[in-house]
Amino acid sequence: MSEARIHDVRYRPYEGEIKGSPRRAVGSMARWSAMRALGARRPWTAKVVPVGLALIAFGPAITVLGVKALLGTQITQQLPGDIIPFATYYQLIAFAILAYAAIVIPETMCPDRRSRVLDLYLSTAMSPREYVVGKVLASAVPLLAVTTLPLVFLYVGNVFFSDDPFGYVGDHLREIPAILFGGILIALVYTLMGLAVASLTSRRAFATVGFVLMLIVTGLIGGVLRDALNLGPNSRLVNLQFQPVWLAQKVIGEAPASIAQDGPLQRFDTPDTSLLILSNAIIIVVCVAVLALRYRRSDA
Amino acid sequence: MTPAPAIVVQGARRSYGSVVALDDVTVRIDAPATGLLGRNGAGKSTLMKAILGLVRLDAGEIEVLGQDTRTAGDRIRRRIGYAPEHECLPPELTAADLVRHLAELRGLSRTDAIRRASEVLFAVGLEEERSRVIGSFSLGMRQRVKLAQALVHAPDLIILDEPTNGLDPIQRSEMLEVIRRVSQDLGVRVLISSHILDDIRRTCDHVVVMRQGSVTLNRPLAAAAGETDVLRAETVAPAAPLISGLVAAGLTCTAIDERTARIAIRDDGDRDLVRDTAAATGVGLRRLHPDGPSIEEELLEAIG
Repeated sequence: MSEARIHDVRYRPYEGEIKGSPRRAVGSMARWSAMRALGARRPWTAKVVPVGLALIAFGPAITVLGVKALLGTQITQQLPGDIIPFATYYQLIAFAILAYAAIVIPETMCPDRRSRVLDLYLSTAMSPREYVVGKVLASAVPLLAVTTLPLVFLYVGNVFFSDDPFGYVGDHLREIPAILFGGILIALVYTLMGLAVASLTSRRAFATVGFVLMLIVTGLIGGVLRDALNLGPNSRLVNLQFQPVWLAQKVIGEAPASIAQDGPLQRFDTPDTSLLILSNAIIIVVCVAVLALRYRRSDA
Repeated sequence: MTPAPAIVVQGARRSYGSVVALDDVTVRIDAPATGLLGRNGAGKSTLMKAILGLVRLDAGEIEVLGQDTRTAGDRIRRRIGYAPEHECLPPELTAADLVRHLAELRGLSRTDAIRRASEVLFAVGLEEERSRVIGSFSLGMRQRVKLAQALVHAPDLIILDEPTNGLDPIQRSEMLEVIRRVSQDLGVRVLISSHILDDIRRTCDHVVVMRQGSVTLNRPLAAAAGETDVLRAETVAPAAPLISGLVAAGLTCTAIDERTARIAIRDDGDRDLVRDTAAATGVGLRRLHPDGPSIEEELLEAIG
């Protein structure tokens, strides 16, 4: 009699295609990391912060368009053409952007170090560079939604409520690429700053506190240099809080003084554009260097 | 064409400051399941990481599946599954999500990753728990998740670093059974490290023993058992009739002196044959014992 045995382990050699492309690894890392940071497949408590910050970012646009919708065009015509100019919008949502960078971005990176799953990732064919690129995308793309979509929403709403939509688009055509550039710049710089700080620790809370402290300390130093020592607006370049926002505002167009008179983004009190470009470039380079240093293949 | 050997290590050296982790290691590994045995700090994990191309050698070279780790580290890692010794699983993910994620990182499409995750979790006995978050798993279940993720892309070789570490006896026994099945039933070559001799004996066909960064023993386990089962028979009367009887029965038997003989046996049947032949020839046995060190003694000596 035969001694044949049947092993139903439902396992068979994989005969499908294994694509070793870095793009697929980066895409997968970005998708899964973004899902985790945004609370997907996790309890509702994990979704509160990212969803709340997104709502805050859309708040001013929803309010403006809501007023226009409720009061009708006759009343809104008496208001300034743009109740909230695009350049000023960043000022209103700066808290949401900074809070996102401080709270949500570390969530994409710190847990990997804390749970040591990073070792598992790097034991696949994925390189540390691909890992970091994946994390940058995972952080920047959702942040891009916060920095860009509310302004796009406001722009479209303004067109919709305008008496002369085509005329509005014609008058504000230059602002479309400026909004996109500003949104990308802000998302990229704050993402890199958030990730660079997060790369220094395995604890998300430490990363959040470190990021906030960095903003507060540089803001204080910038304030002291400008006000106490009267060194002029360029001394605020040491302030890391609003560097990309200031540059984005310069690109979109200066905020009217009547609106931005007392805020930190006053048009007459921001550093020179060329120096802002330089300082943003330096921030990007330093952050990339920190990430490269922290995520180099140390031993091979 | 003959497939390339799983692993060929040639003169591998690696130091961390004054500590020599690998000291001129030369070894060829090609059995279905090979055990890397040694005390903690013997160099097992360093050798495994060097095999994966994650540790740069100071000298020497390693070929894995026919490719040089210095130049083809990523290609090699694509064909290898690896389960580290330490805790490395994100507690907030479900087992299915983690295995899926790692399958995608290893190049599988999303659809295939979902299917393969289900298959390998079933194969390691975690089908029912695949939708639970890993944070709620026992240590034994987490070790199985590590094994599942190492298998998900159907690698040619899996490397398991101390897979029974911290497990209770029942979990350990189940884990060893799963590992044995991987090499025997699933046809995946396995390299497993352990500092527990019994783990290696139960799962492997071949053993490489390391001590202080060097290989002190490299032998097949099954063959070793055959070789060491040599008996020494001390008799009351001259042993010549017993020797003649055993030779006539087909055993290899030689005289050491007038009342002592060395007998090579293959199994317990041969052992019974020695007893029966002694009775039949009327040669009283004073003592019958293994001649030379047993496999355990040999391995323990190599471990140091």
